[in-house]
Amino acid sequence: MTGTQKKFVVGGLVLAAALTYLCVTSIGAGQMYYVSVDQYLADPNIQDGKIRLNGTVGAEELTIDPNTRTLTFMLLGDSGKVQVQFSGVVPDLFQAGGKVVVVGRTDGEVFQAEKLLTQCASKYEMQEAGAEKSI
Amino acid sequence: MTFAGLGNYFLAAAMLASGAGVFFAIWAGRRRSSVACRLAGAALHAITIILTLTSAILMRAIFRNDFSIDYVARHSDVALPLQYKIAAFWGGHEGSLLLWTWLMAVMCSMAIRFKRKDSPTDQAPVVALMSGVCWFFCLIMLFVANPFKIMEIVPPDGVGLNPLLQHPAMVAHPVLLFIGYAACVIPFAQFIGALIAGRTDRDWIASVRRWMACAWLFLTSGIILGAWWAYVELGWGGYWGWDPVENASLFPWFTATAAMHSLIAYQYRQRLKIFSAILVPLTLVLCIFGTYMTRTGLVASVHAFPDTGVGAMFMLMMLAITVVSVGAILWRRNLLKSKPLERLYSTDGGMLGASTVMTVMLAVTLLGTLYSVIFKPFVTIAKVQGPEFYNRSVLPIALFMGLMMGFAPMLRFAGRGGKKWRILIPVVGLHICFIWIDRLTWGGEFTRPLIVVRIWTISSAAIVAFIVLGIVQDFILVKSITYVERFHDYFSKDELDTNLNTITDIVIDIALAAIESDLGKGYDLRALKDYTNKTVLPFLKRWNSVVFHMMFCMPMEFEVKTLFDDPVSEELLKIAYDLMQLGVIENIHFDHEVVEEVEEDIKVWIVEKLHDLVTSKENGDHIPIEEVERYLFDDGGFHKGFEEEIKLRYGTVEAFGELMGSSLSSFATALAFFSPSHAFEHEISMPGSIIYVFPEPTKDKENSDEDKDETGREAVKEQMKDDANIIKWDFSDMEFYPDGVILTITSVMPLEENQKRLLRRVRLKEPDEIKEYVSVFLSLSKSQRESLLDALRYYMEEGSTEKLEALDWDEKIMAIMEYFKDTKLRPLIEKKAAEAEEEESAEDTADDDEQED
Repeated sequence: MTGTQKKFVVGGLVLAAALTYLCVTSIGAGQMYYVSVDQYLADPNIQDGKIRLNGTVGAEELTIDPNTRTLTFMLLGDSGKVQVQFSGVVPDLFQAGGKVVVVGRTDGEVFQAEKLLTQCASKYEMQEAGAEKSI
Repeated sequence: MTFAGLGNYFLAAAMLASGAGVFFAIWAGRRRSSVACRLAGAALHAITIILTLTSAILMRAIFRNDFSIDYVARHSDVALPLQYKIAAFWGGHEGSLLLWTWLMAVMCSMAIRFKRKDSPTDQAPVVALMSGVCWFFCLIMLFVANPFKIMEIVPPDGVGLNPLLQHPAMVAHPVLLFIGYAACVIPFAQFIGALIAGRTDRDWIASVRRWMACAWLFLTSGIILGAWWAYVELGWGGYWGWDPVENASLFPWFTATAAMHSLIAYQYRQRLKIFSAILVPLTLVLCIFGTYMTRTGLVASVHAFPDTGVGAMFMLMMLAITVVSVGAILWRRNLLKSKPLERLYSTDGGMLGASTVMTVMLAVTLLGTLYSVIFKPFVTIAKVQGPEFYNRSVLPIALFMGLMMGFAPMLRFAGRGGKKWRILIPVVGLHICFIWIDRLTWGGEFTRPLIVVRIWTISSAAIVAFIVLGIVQDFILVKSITYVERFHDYFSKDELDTNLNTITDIVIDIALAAIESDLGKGYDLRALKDYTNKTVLPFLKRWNSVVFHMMFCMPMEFEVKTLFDDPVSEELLKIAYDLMQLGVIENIHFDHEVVEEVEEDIKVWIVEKLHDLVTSKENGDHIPIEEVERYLFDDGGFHKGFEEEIKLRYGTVEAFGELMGSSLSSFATALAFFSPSHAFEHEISMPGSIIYVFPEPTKDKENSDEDKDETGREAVKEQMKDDANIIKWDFSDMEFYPDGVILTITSVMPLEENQKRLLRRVRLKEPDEIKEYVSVFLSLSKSQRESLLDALRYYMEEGSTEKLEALDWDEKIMAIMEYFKDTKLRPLIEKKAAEAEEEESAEDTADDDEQED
C-alpha cells in the first residue's frame, strides 16, 4: 500500500466515524412517533415524549384566548378526540374540518402543540367526483 | 368517436411507437443496420408527435369543460381562471404523468436530433433506452393511471382545482420539476447507451454533462418554487420542513449535483468513471423513487397520498433501469477503468470530495426519510425522524461543503509548483485570517448559550467570505493566467476550455454562497452586521479594491443597509407612535401585499435589551460579555421569552430547516438573475411568515356572506381582529410613497411586555398631511416636542386647551395644532365624553336593578 492510499484509507475512516457519530446522535434527537389520534389514544406508551399527531380540526370547541394568544381545539380521529393547545403562529390555511399535524407532547390532559402544520390537500387523491362540493 | 376515446388510441399508439423504437433500436444495434436505426429514431420522434397530440386533447377537454372525462371533472370546473385551467393539466396524478412523459419524449427527440451526426449504430442503444422508458410510462398511463377515463354519469360541473393548488407557484413548480425529471432520462440513456455501444469518449460525456446541467437547473428551480409555495400557502413552518415529500425532490438533486462534479473529472481527465457511471442512472432512479414514495403512501407525510396503484409499476421501472445500468457497467467495466487519483489535493480530488459529500448528504437524508420504513418490521408503531434529525446531521455536512467550496478554486493550481503557488500564499492566508479575525473580534464568548446562536452565524459568515473570496481570486487568476498562458503555452488547449467552463461554475458557486450567508442571517442578524462592520468593511477599505468590494459586499450590504439605525427615521417613528396614541393618525389601511421578514424583531428585541443594559452603566464602565449573556438569557422572564420566541419561529433553536428554507429563496433569485445582490434585494419583497392576517375592514363586510364554508377560519380571523384592539402599536419603520405612507408596525403583546412581534405593514392615508405634521415635529427640539405632546395629551384627557395655549412658539405650529384640535381631537373628545355618559347611564341602570332586587 502506497503512502497516498494509506492517507485515503485513514482519512476515509475518520470521516466515516464522524459521520456515524453525527447520524447516531441525530437519530436519537430527531425521532418521534407519527400517529393518528386513534392510535395515540389506544396506546399509552406513545403518549410519553414528543410526537407528531395527525387528525381533523373539530369545528366545535375551537377557541382563541386573546390574552394568552392560545388556540385551543379538538383534534378528531375516527373515533376519539384529543384536546390540543397551541400558542403561536396559526397558519393561513388552518380551518375547522381541515387536516392538520401537530407536533408536541401531552401534559396529561391537553396536548401542548409546539408546531401546527396544515396538511397539503392530497393532490393525487382518488376522490368521488363532487364529494368536495357536497361538504 | 369521442375525444376521450381518441386520447386512449393515441396513448396506445405512443406505446406501440415506443415499443417499435425499442425493437428497431435493438435490431440496429445487433445487425449494425443504419436503416433500422433511422426507423428507431423516427419512432422516437413519432412518440413525441403522438404525445403532443394526446396532451392537446386533454388540454382541449379541460378548456371545453368536457366533464365526461373523469380527470377533467376531478380537477377543473367551469369557473376556473385560465392559468389554473392550464395548471389543472398537471394538478392531478394522471395528468402529471402525461406531462412528464410528454416532456421526456420531447427532450429525447431533441437529444437524438443534436447527436444526429454521430454514428447511427452508436446511437442505437441510446434510442432503445429512451424508447424503453417512454414505453413504461405509456403503459402506466394506459392501464393504471389513465387520464382519459370516462365518467359514467357526466356531472354538470367539475370539482375544480384544489384551492391550495391555485397559486402562481403551482403553475410553474410542477412543470419545472417535471422538466428536471424528464431531462434526467437523457444523461442516463446517453451514458448507459453509449457504454453499451462501447463509446465512452469525450463527445458523449460532454453531451451527458450538458443534459445533466439542464436537468439540474430545472430541478433546482422546481425545488425552490415548491419551497416558496409551501412557505406562502401551506404553513409548513418555513420553506423547508424536511417533509418526506420535500426530501423526495431533493434526492435526485443530490446525485445530479454529485454527477455534475464527477463528470468533469471523467470528461477532462478520465477519472471517477465508475462513480459517474453509478451517479447518472441513480439520478433517474431517484426521480422515479421520489415519485413512487409520494404517490404510494410509503412514508407518512404532511402530504396525504393514498396508493394510486402505480407503486408496482414504478418499482418495476426502477428495477429495470437498475438492472440495465448495473449490467452495462459490469459488462463494460474495462472501459470504465479510471486513471488513478494521485493526490487528494487536486482538481479531481476536489471533484471526488464534492461528489462524495453530496452522496453522503443523500444517504443521510434517505436514512431520515425512510427511517420509519426501515424499522417497521421491528416495532409495532414506527417512529419518524423530525426536522431535528436533519438539522443536526445535514447542517454540519453543509458547512463542510461550504469550506470545500472555498478551497475548490485553489485546487486548479495544485501540483503545478513553481511561482504560481506564491500567488496563492497571501490569499490562503487571508482566508484563514478571516476565520481567525472573526474569532478574535468575538473572542472569549464561545460559551453556551450564545454559542448556539452565534457559532453557526460566525462559521457561515466566515465560510461565505471564504467562498466569495475564493471565487474572486479564481476569476482574477484564471483571467490573468489565461491571458499570460496564451503566449507561454503553459496550459494545454483542454485546460483553456475548462477555464471557460469555470464561468458557469462561478455562477453556481455564487448562488451557493448566498445559501451559506443566509444560514447565518437566520440566526443572528446583529452578529452578521457587526461582523461586517468590524471585520469586513475595514478590510475592504484597506484593500480598496473595487472588485473585492463589489463581489464581497453584495450580500453583506443588504444586511448593513437594513440594520443601520437611522436617527431621523427613529425620531419619525416615535412621533408617529405618539400621534397614534393620541388618535391623530386614525386612517389605517392594512396593506396585504408587503410583509416584513420575521427575523427582524428578534434583532430589535436583543438590541433593545442590550441598549437597556448599556444605558444602566456609567460612562466608561466595561461590560464583560458574560454579563451580557446573563442579561440576555438568564435574567428573569427574558430567558424564557427568548426561548419561546425562537421556538415559535424555528420550532427548535437549532432549526436548520427554516434557515435552509430562507436560503432557498436567495438561491432561487440568485440563479434566476445570476446576481446575489439582486437575490438579496428581492428577498425583502418576498412574502415573509404571516403572523396574523387582518381582514380588510370594508372588503370583509362584503364578502362575509360568501365565506360561510370557511366559518372556522373566519372565526379565527375575527378573533384575531379583536386582539388587534388590545395590542399596543409601536412603529419601527416608515416609508413615504405617492399613494400613502407605509408604516411597519410591531406590537407589544399583552402576553409579555417584551415579546415584540411584527404584525403587518400598514398604509396610512393622507400622506401629505402627516408629512407636514411630522416635519413640523421634527423641527422642534426634544423638550419642545415633549411639552407639545404633553399638552395634546392634557387636552385629550381634560378637554382643556390650557396647556396648549401656554405653548407659544411658532405660528405655523400653532396653526397645525388648531387644525388638529378642530378636525381630529375634538371629535375624539366628544366621542369619549359620549361613551363616558353611556357608561354612567348603564351603571345607573345597573344600580337601579340592584336596588329593585
